Amino acid sequence: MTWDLDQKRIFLVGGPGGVGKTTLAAALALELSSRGYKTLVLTVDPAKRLAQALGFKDFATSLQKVSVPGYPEAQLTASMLDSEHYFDKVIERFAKSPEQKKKILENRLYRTMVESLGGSHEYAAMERLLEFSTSSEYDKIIVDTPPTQNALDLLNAPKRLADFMDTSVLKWFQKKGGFQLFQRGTQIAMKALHTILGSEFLDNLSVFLNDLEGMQAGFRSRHLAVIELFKNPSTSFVLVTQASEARFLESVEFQKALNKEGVRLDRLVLNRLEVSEDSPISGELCEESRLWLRSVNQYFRELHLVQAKWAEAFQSALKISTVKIYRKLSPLNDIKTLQELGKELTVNEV
Amino acid sequence: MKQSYLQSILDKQVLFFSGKGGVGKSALTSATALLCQRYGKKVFLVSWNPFDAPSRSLPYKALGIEQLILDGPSCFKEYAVGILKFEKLYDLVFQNKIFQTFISVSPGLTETVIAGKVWDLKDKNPDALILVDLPSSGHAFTFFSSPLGLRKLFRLGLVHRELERICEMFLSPKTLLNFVTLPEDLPVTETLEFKKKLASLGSFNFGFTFLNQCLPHFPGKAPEESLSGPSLTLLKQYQALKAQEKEAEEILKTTGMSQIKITRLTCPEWITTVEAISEELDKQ
Repeated sequence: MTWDLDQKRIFLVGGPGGVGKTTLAAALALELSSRGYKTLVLTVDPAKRLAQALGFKDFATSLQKVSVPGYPEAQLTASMLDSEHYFDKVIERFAKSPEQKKKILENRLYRTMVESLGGSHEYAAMERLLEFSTSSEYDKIIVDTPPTQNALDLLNAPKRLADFMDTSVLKWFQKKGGFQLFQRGTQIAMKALHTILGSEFLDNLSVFLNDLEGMQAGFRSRHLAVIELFKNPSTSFVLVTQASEARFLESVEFQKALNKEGVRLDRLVLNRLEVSEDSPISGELCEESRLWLRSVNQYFRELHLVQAKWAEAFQSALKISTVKIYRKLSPLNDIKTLQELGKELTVNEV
Repeated sequence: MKQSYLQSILDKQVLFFSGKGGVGKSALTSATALLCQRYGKKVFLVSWNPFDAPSRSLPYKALGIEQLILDGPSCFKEYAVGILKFEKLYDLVFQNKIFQTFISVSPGLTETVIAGKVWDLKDKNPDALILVDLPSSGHAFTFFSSPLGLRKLFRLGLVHRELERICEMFLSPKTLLNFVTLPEDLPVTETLEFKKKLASLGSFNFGFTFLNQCLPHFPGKAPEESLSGPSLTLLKQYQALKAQEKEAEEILKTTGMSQIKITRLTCPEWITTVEAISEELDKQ
């Protein structure tokens, strides 16, 4: 069985950090572009070496063209996600007036929020994806999603923002002194909040939320759009992970969380499996060398067997199509090796 | 004289473990907990992994470690009840969807109440060692930056005092910040960047970097003869991994932190892996 790539338009490559997601996303992009699709790959914090392998000095947030060896007609574009200024851009987009924009961008609470959320790529990834998914410029879009062990982080990124600006929460804080309109319970709650958080914080928050008035609908609609995109049958969610117990337990949870939201995993990639030889000794060798080779082989053999055991557990628990990728002997720092990896990823089905 | 790993942590109160997801943070945190426990130290293992925590599914109980899983809403509740004195009052006013949403989405609030809980645990158990298994780097940064940033926003009230205490705990000489990483390009780079970002926030006490999943020592000698076939493949396999490891070690040296190499084991189960790592740490 091969992967029905024609039916899919968006590929979300997800999984924990350090499992080779970014590399596999790039490999998939190379393969799709060489099949004649206009392809875009969006990536987060990529390794310098991968950027170099794709032929540019560094990844940039602008769109960069990649030339695909052997396929002069191939159209491949790569771009890095800019999460630093993401929030400012969102505010700019949804602000009703230049005054509102300025007020929010200068609010102390907003700056604190941005600083504390600035590191989360989830928001940026989803926003960029929405941006490109609505344009017809690309046939295939691959998103190397931010490293997360948590499916909901990704899915709920815009939701958390929208929740923050939920009208019911806003109502309390907007228009100072408006609390008396609410029931007694809310009054007690506000008093308690004053005691706990202090009035300075609440005043700040109130000002901030007042400034955001009218923007929440925009955030809400982004969240719904992300959910729709994830559920769309033309979207493929690819989980990249490794064959070990911890990764197994976490992947089962990951799938459960996605399914709860109505999102299905499309394909599992077990990356960097160890290869193991049957007889490691070839040729005339001294005893010390033979001992060394035997013990090294024994070690990889054991790793291989443990991984095989967990690979089986993965397949029987997740029940989705699975690709096994074996560890490469040479580092993946040239485009040819990446192309081969792309082929392996799309054809090799277990 | 160089201190052993155990010696340098036994007189501490709080150890933070951070690193990219999937590098073995939970395993290193648990192995350290197990080690200290074996030497008679009272330990608490604190996991803070929001939402559907993978750490929830790991078998801590079987290891005999006391584990606390913290989440924003329940830590906020504990804190608020402490102030309001009556749980019923809390339930009456806070146990509704609107307030719960407010708690989980207010910038930095979750991180701050969780840090507050760690402080509380430390305060109540001055002789214990609290090991905090932080979520992956992005969230871990928020954990440290929120209380430090919010301190500027709250200059009054109970929260101000609370934040002062938390920040003091973060920067205390009895607190150590450790990093777990793998001998690979990305996790190592991220460790360096993360350390730099944290150092710009305040003068933390950086402890150890754990380079996890390194190759073990093999008996015999790596062949010097010219090889072919499977022997050559095997040697190449070994050399490729060894080269990555060397490079990671060199890069991590620039952090100026003590480095501990942890062997990649062939144990099939997580528990046996943790026990073996704990033995390995004992020898460091």
